[in-house]
Amino acid sequence: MNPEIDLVADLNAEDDEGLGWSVLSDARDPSRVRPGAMLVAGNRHAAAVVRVVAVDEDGQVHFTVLPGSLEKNRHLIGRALA
Amino acid sequence: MRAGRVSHDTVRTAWQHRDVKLRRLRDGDVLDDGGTFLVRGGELDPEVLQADAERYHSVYGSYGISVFALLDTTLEELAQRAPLVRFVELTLVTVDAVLQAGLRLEPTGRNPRHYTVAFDDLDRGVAGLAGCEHQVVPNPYHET
Repeated sequence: MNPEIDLVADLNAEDDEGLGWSVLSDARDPSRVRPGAMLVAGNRHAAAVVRVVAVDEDGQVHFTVLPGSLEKNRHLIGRALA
Repeated sequence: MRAGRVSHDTVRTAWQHRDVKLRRLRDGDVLDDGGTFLVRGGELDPEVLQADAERYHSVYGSYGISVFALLDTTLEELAQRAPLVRFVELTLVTVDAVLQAGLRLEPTGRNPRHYTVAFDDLDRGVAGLAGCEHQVVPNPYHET
């Protein structure tokens, strides 16, 4: 896993609500993946800062992708919005 | 554990003995113009496609890969918006090429441009998609 990526994800993927998604089992530290958390998601083709919207019982993680570059959004990583 | 606002229907599949989510399909949404381009961020890297399809299977109980149809928009418009703006390269493939590879195109989710390339056999599906005639173009709107 790329050391910068907190949650391996296909940033192309959308759930039924049009949100990005992945699964908890692809998180570096699942305890950090909570609603409101800002973290880096992606894979070797693309990465972005995302805001976690929801975590389902089955481990599916839903998030919004911030359009800006990692560099521009780096200061947001680790923050949690209520 | 359940947090947040997203809700889904689930169904138990007898052959898997576990719950999987039902994907919401847009009624009557069929890509009937075989020349329509589909866009996917990144190259058609079989290793990444396999991982993405397996992740899809873990939630929805079938194999799928996300693409966006160039319908009522331009590549330039999609390329500068999330999520595609986050990709250095974009892959373009036609509807015909996907169907001729024996894959299905399902209109999934509320985004009218989002489709899932669906298949039942992981290895064949990944090989079929990766082997489709396609173009890879740089995304001029991407910022590192």
